[in-house]
Amino acid sequence: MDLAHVNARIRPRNHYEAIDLGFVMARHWILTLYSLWFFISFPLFIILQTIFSDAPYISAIVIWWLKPLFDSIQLHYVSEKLFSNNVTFKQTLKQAPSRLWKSALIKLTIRRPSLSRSFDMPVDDLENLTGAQRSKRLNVLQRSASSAAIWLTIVSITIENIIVFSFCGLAWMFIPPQLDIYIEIWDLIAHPEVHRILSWCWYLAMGLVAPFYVTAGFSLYINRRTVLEGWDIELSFKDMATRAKKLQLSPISLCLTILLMIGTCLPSTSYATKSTEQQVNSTDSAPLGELIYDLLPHDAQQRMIVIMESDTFNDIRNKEEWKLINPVEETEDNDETPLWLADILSLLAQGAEVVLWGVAILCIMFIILRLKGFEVPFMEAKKYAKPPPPTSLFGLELNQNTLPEDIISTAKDFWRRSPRQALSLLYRAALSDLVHAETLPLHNSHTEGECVRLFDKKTHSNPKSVFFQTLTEQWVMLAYGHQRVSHKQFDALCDEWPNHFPFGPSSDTSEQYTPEKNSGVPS
Amino acid sequence: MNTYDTTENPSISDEQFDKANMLISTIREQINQVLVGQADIIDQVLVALFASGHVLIEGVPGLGKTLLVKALAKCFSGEFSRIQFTPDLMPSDVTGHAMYDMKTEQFKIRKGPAFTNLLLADEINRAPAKTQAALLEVMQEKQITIEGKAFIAHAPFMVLATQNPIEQEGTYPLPEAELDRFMIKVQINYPQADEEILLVKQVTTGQVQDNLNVEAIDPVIKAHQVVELQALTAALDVDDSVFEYAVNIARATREWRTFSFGAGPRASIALIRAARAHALLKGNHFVTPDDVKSMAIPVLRHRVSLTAEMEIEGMQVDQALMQLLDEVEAPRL
Repeated sequence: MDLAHVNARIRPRNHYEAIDLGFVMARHWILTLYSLWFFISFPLFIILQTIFSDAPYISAIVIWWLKPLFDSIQLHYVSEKLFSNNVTFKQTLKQAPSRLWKSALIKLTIRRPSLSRSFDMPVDDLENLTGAQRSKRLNVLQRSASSAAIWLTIVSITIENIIVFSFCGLAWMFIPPQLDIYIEIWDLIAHPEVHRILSWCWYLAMGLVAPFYVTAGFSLYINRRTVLEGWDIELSFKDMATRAKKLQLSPISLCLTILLMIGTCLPSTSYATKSTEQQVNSTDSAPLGELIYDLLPHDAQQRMIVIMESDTFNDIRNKEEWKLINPVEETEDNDETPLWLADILSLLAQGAEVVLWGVAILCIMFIILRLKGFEVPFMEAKKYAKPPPPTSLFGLELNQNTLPEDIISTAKDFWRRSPRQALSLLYRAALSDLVHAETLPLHNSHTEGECVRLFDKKTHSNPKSVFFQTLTEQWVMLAYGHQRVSHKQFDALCDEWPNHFPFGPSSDTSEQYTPEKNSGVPS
Repeated sequence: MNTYDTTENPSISDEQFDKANMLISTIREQINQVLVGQADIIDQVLVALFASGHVLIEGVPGLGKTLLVKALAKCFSGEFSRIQFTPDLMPSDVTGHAMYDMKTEQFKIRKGPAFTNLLLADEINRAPAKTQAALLEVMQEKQITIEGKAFIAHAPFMVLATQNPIEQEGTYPLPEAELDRFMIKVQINYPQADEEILLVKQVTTGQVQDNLNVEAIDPVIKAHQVVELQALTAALDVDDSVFEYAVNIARATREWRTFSFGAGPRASIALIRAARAHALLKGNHFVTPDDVKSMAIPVLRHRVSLTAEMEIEGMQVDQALMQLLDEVEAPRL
């Protein structure tokens, strides 16, 4: 690699400028690049088409998969050409077999999905680096150029697809409109002949894009090295050295140069002595297009007026052309809409305007209200939706079906055997009533005291809440305090019960009450 | 014939109970004279006193933290000491130390202010950790070791520590082990408007300085009476289901998503003891789940720590504990 003989102008470029340079390079050697690509890939494509005649798309996929191998041949040609090695198509082809198989396995496996392939290829193929050295080198090179390389790949893929669709579109355009054929798109996609055409289109698109992709990636790589290694500075120094060699300065020529420099730097009075009359004459006589130096402001203004009044700035031309007058439009314009229809349309328009303004105002009001914390009932429906009443609370079955038909008589029966069970039944029945009839939102975490407070708050201390409080106190005293409840207290509760809790026998009782099962009292 | 599966608590007589209730209501009245609008706070401090626990009082300046403790000390005719915690306070300034007596040519033990009944540790977080730790032994074991010799603290012994949540400059946050020694943490908030008016009237009428005067309080309870009340509290009846409820609440804090760490077993113990005292204050012979639930937040708020995300979201410990209490099932009987 000799930088002195490089065929492109070496200077630090930004990444997209470097890609542009790559495209210019590709255009310069386009015929050879296309020939190389198609010469190697076309026979393989034809063989694959023959082998997989039932599934022609496989051949295109295989070619796509083998692209890194074909691209490496083009890369070698471009690199040789850039550094003025007079390589020919034949020479490149001769060296192709050895280059094709070089690191083919790794190129077609783990490196195949790389999005910066065209940028990485020179490191693999030209610098012949492998393993840790390669990754270290790529790390340095890709530090700023990787995004451009990735975008180059994405754009190339897009262009390939556009070319494929363009081919399809072209074929579609060749169908004469008079045929008026209807083609079902799914039938078209499933047709094997269509697959064949598409595979050809894809193959051609790959071939068309490949040289540009390879050279642009290579150019990016060269540019990155120019920036990192200062190739442009090296070239400048080489130029200076060459020029210095050519310029053999003798002592006499040196003296002459110094004298000339002094002479040109001395101030001259020639401009100051020039008469203004000469200038005026010269301005008048000078042709209009000629540039006159050292004009005085006044003369310059006059000359401007002269120029502005000249024919160049006063060229008036008359242009005549034919214009098509559409007779149909004119007749339509003359047709007037009936008055009644115009009125209705106007009313509708006004109505629509009012509605739209109304909606806009409502929206603004709604947003303001929401921002101020106003809650819209229908939007908060979920928030306010009452959960279904619990079927059990504090381990007590609260379903009304599980309660006996006559609570008081059952409680009195229990009282003889176990006062705790009797009071438990009353408390459970009361809670069941609060949950179902009074729709008191009780949860499992509520204690007895909280139930009383909640009910009291809801009913504003009505007699029923007072009775519930008494019942709870007696139940708590028995359950947690392990203290006796007197017969008198129990009888008072039973007597007062019907005044507050009217439910008793339930007509739709589906489950029969059994004290052992449903009492909710642990043994 | 009735067959009761329950038994009455035979250890507490009604006479004892009535006497205790009278005493408690007198103390309440006395403290309410000077500390306006903080009835709940007074109750919480009394709960700690009767449950033989210690109280950490937190509140912004000027809400009467020190006044509350002074008023309590005034009601109580026992000994009262106050330590103003400062950054240069040494552990021996709290507990006491051995001093060489030139006359007798012997070491004499000089007992510190911790040898008292009520100890006010004012602005406890202003002292470094080593001084704060001097209280650990006396708070937990009710004894003070000086020069290798253990001295039993006076009974009843109660530490009332105050701290200011706003000032962070020059303060030393209490370590978790120390916090766990406090039975409850009381949070004093601003009083209501009408209560504040009453307070301002009291302070400004006929007084030159703006201090609230605790002179109006009479000593109504003696040290041995407090010990009796503490014994009465410990004897209150607690059902197994209530024990289970308290333990469930403490255990729930350990798995609760908003806490980075939860409360230990000492919290369950403190919760039951506080619930007993709360029941006594309410005039009940037995403890109900309501007692446990109402004491849960003061007992747990200093024993749990919010996760970083919850703190960033601006959640308060009390809010998180309320959510937790809404989820823990109440006892099933």
